[in-house]
Amino acid sequence: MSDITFVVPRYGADVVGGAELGARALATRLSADGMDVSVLTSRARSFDTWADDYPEGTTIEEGVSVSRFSVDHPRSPNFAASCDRLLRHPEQASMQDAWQWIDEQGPTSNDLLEAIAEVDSGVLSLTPYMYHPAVRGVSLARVPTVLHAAAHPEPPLRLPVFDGLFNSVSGIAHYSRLEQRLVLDRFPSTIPTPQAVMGLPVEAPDFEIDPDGARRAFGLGDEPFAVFLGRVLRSKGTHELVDFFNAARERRGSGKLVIVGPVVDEIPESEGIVCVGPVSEQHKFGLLAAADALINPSPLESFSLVVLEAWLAGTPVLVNGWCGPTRDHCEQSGGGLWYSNFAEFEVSLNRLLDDAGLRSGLARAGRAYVEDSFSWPAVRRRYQRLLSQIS
Amino acid sequence: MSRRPVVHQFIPSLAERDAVGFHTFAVDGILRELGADSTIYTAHIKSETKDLARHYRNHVKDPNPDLIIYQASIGSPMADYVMGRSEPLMLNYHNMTPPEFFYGWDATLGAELDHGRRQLARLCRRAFAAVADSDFNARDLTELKLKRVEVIPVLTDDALFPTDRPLAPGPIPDRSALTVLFVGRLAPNKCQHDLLAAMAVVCQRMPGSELVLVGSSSSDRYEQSLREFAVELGIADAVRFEGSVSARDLGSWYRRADVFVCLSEHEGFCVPILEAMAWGVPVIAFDAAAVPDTVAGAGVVLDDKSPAVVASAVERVVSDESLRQLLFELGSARAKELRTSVVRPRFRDFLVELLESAEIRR
Amino acid sequence: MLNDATDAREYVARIQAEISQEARRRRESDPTLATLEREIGQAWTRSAPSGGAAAASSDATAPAEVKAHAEHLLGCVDDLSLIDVDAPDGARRGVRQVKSAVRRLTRWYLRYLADQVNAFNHFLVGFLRSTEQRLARLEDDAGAAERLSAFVDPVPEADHALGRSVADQLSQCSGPVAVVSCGSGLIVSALLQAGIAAHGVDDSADAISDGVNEGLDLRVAAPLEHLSRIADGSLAGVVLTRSVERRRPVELSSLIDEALRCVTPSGRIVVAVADLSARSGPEAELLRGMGLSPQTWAHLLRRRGCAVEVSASTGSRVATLVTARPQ
Repeated sequence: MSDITFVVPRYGADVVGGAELGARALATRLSADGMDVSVLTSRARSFDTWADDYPEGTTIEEGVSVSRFSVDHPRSPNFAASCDRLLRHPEQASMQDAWQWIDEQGPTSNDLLEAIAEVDSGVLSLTPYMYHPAVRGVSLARVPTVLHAAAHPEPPLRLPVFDGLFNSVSGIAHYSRLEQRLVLDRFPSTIPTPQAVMGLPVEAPDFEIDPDGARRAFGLGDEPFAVFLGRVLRSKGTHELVDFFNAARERRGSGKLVIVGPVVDEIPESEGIVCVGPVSEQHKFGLLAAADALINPSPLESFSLVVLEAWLAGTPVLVNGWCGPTRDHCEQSGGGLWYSNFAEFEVSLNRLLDDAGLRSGLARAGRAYVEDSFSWPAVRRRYQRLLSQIS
Repeated sequence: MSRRPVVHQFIPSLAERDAVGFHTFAVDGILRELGADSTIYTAHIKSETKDLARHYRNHVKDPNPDLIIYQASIGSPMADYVMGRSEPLMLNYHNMTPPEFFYGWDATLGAELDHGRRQLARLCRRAFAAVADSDFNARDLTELKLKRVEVIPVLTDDALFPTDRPLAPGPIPDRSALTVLFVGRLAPNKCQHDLLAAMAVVCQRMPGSELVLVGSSSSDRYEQSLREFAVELGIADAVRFEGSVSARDLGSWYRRADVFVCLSEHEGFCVPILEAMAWGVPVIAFDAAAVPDTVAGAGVVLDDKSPAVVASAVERVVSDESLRQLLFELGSARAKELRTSVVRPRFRDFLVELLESAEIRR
Repeated sequence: MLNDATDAREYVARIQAEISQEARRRRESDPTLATLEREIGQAWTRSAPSGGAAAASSDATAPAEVKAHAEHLLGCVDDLSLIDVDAPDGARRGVRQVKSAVRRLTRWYLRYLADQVNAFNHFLVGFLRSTEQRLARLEDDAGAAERLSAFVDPVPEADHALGRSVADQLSQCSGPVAVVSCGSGLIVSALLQAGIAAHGVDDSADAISDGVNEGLDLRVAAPLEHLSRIADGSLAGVVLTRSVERRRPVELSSLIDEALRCVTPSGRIVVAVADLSARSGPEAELLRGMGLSPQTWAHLLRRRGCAVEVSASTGSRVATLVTARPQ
């Protein structure tokens, strides 16, 4: 008899991924505030194969009742070929092909679907839009549903198979104003649907942030540096950032870029670049605080937790101007700069590294914005308003 | 004239290895031979040319010239400066790519070319005479109402031509190891993508063939699209992007090539066609802009560059003995007509006439 | 010799025709060749940026594109200096200080570009000169807008009393209701409190940001555009307020048509505008021809086939509400 049940493809403290982290952030905090929160999910830890990993069954994790179900089969080997075929011209895919794509992508679990159908109280929160549990599950729901879409301007969004999902949910929670605009444009029938721009709760860590400790731990000395935080992946723009940074550094004569996060695509070694790999939460915030600026080169973010965390750590940001949500954060808050090409990157980087007044002004504005808009009380207020409209 | 005439050449960007750069040095040589006090001014000096020219910001301090020659191939603030001077102005026009070719690829470059075209209109009103490389180029100027336009081909670098000219075409090329060559900057108006499209068909009938593209890139996006296109077509292994090469390496490529194919939509002259002919390589070219003027019947000219047609042309040229012999002879003769040794005296005569004309005399 | 040369050239010219014929023959005898050529064309459109593929063939478009790109570049420089003509007083938090810092940055950016040794340097220099002029003009204009707005006040926000009155008019609906020119969302909030699902649209991102932060469903959109994207009969009601007081009758007529299309047969349209007579003398002159009195709204709606009720509102500024029911 839950007040709110989250349906998400994967769930767990070790699970990395935007929508999954978002679900966990909401679930744990709502539970801490006294709501009865459940989660229905698969046993998978990694999204490549959905292989059963966590044990089957129900556990209590951070106050939340988490039920994990086995998948009927791992991700289909035909999936990559289906992607190639359908995603070039997704609007032209037939419904049959598109449904097949959903089933091949997974995670496909009949037990999970049955559990969704059994929920008879409260609200069902489905996230993200793209996977089997949400798309197949929505038609089985017997209670009001909220969709946390985590939509990007990406080819799958244009497949014909998601209209049913977006049209039948009772409410929609968006990560950003841009996501809302994207969804309203793509699915005009959602215009009258109750919805809210929610974002995610972002709070300062409960431990003391130690920039000096972080510098010592990674041998960074006293030199000023810019930091990148995230998976080191071409599609996240890391390699372009390294190119730009190296070129700027050559012309400038100084400067260091510290790359923090798991390396998926290798970066060639160079003088100004320091790769420290994945780090603990303590060191993460320490490095954010010690840096002169956080640079986020990714063109495709739905929310960008790291930008907000940088502001909480007192550090201004420089983002890829082509990325709507991060640029929107900067515009709304006055806490960061953005670049659309190398010339702008170089000029902005130089100003950030050379102008302490600018840095502190930007950081202050950014921090005020995060505290105002993304504190848990602010997010909860928005979510409850949405829930009260639909239940 | 009672004293040495002072002639200043202006060229926006001076590089040794580019056609207009070489031409400018050659004109400088002729002027000195004629006893003129000749200087080259430029806005962008590359390191290899820094002792051979002066930056045009120095021009105001230098003694006034009797004649200014402006090497026009792109838009430049230099043109505004030159038009602001009172001395007689002669244009040496090498054509400017129409800006439309760069929309969608590099709009800044497109805007730059558009700017250049508008400058050209003003230059034509200000100049009293011009030399154009081809009839095609000359038409641009006469349409802009410039009356005195002489057609003299561009002066080329003999070093690019073989010293040991082949006397006969080589044996019929091996169909399983065909080398198709094009030399020219990777740019949308030179249509290397059409070459790739044709190769997709060529490789089907003659697997093992390769396309060699020599020339640096004018537009990063275009180059990237070419590479992706090659992958999409499944011929990435058959295409070589050689970039910019030395004169000696260029000679090696001409020697290796079995056929030279040019599918450009826009060329002001296309010196590589000439080079190919001098090296005895048969030429296939698409009928556009100044290309037929340069080819002048000494190569196969197509009015349809769809892949099947170009592939058929390539196949015909490499397999038909008598056609190869004919193209070899015609090509050699044409290349001779445009060799510096032939063109230079024409340019020299023109300059003599100019320097003695009423406009220049004090 | 001459004849030989001429014959030779003629021969070569004939080859072209033979080649074309050969190609045609091959296409006819080998269907895969035609397919291959088509696929090659498609492969190129995939590899080239949209516009690039067209440009590289001869059917390219006009210098309008060049101008469009120049405008776009100007726009980027505008962004870099965060000049926002709509918010001349830098109402957004933090924007003012960033604006001044980045304005200095812009100057440096301009100087940097001017010094850049680049073959396209000169275009940028001339272009940048015009950019500086344009920035100066924008700042001027922003100043001018500030001066003009001192003559006529913007339409004030709704108050709680008005919110309650509107909610009363829509008490039969459960939602959803669209509120046009919602501002900070007071009417939307009042509707929600009355248990009616509602969202609001407004031209100004600044005006709605506090409301969005509170969790109200407020969006940036032009009223007519917003309504035109809603499917027939998807709304229980539409509330027209504020900005409609500054629009001309022709626009308002289109707005009525769209609103009527969006509401269900049992839906309602509520118009909450101040009486024209409430305008001060100068306002009346400066705003002549804009907006309509409640009575005229009622007239228009009746003419469009609605049953219309005119009621009093206890709001301080808007004294009369016009509620229309399509028939």
